Amino acid sequence: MEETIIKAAALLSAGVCMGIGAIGPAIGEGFAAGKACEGVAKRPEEAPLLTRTMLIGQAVSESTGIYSLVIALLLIFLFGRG
Amino acid sequence: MTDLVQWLATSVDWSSLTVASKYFAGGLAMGLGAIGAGVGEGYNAGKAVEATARQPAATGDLVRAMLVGQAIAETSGIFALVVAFMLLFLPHQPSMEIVGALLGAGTAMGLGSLGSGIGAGMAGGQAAASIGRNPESRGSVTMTMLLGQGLTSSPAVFSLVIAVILVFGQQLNKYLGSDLAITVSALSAGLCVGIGAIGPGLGTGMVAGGACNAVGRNPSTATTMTRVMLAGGAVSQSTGIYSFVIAFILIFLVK
Amino acid sequence: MDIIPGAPIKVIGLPFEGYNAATLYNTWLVMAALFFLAWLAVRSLSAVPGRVQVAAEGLTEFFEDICNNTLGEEHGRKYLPFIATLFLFVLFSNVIGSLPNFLRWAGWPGFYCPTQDLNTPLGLALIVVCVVHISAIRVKGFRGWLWSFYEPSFPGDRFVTKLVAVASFSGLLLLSYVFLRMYILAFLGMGWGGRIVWGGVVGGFFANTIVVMAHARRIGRVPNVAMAPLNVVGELGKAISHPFRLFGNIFGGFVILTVVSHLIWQIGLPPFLNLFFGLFIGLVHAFVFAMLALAYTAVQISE
Repeated sequence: MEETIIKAAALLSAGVCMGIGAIGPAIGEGFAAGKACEGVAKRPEEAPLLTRTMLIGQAVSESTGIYSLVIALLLIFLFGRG
Repeated sequence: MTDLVQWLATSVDWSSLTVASKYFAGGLAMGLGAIGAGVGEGYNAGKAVEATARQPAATGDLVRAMLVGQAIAETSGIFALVVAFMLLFLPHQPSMEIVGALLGAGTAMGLGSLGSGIGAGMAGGQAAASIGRNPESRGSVTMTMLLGQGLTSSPAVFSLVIAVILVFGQQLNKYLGSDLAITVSALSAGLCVGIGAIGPGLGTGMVAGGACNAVGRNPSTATTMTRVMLAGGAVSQSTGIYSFVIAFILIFLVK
Repeated sequence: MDIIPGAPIKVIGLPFEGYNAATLYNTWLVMAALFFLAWLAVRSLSAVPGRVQVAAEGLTEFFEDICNNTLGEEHGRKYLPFIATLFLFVLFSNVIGSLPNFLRWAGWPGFYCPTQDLNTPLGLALIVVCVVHISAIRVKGFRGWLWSFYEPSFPGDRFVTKLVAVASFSGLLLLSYVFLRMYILAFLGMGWGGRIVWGGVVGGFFANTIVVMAHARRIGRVPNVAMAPLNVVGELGKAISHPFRLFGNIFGGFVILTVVSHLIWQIGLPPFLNLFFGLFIGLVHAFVFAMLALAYTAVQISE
């Protein structure tokens, strides 16, 4: 019975972890891509460079979202399925 | 603790709680779902009015662009309406898991349409502003706005998928016992995809808005801009997709 | 969840019951349609092009332009067929679900998007992952590909490189020592398949560190050891989000069409929704799928 409650708590926190963890990175990446669009409008000839820089910056700012994903998967598969 | 689990399984009247939770979840879905579409369309209209004040000659174009943008910003609200109808009018088996699933479905759809509605409104508003600045660019700006809003709606679509699966949850046999873990996992799946859709909707809306703004400044770059916008917007949705995956795992892989 | 009716079918006498029959049927139909259109386009090539040839040339030029802009002239031509084929296949798979079942008289089970079955996007994304990493190995070499997981690296003299090498080796040894007992117990407890896999993983860690450190001394840069796990998980994240984006959107369109049609009996809203989801969202996400494949390739093969 104790295990049931621990399992339920792990599952709930997995969902909340991934949900809340998805907010920040997404807004940050959207900000970066919006700025990249402005940059392309100013200097269209640098578009490939801007796109590549944007993708690398987004990959870095996505890392916290990936941490949430890893933690949520660990919570589900280590504690949530017992 | 043991008492709590036993009390939940035996002494609670789940049949009346199922009815209560289906009404509550229906209200939650439509109530929260109306926020996003409302704010987004209002922002769109506000920007269109500003642009009309600056360029009264372009009123016809502006109104047309505003109405198209608002119609697409409305889709997330329509999703919420559909899910609310399903919650209110479909028959539901009384059980503890169904209560969790219904509350999860309401939360998922309500919170999930928030970000997409506001994001689509941001795209439409920036498009109206740039048509007001440069009325000749209306064709490429409207095209960019439509593509951007198509991308913006996908977090709401993910929430919709999870919400519909949860509403039809009684077809999954595991939803008819009284297991605390299954109940909580259904609720948690809804919370996960719902909260997780707010950020991607807003972020993609910022990308689409920035692209519309930029196309208005320099219409000759429209095709390049579309490409940059689609790549950037798609990447900024990936955390929303992670939430979608986690919700899928919570629904289908938790025993 | 049995949303797509999967009638058992027979192909040259073999029963296909374990598969999703509707997906299989419709995938073959999409491939046949693409073959037919390609044949139609190249049937009579001429200097004064007909309508079909104009459309095909326009499409090819559009994608050639995009590939050349993103990858540069020399790589652009090589990846054009892959990206354009990906786009066309996903586009046809997305819009085929909007057709009414006009082949009902011939026993056709109905038009469903192959992409609303998770298996199709997963397979396509697996192809993209393989293409991206194999072309990265071909362009940068095996060591360069391994090194790309340690980016952004920073310049440093041989002393700093040696210091990082010693530090990461002692970190690996420390980890092995800490988990030694657990590792040996688990190793003894598993079968030979598991022993080979786990031995390969642990041996791979050490071999990888040796190769990367040797490469670091050769090019005189210091690898960013802290970024390595992050980059690996980042690649995994790309591979997860790429198929699920397509699947979620197409499946969501199918779900809302079905639900709305059942709720209000095909009055008014379904044709509009069909237009929006079937054609518009289908087009957008086919393009997004192809563009992301291109962007991943560009990030991996850029120096």
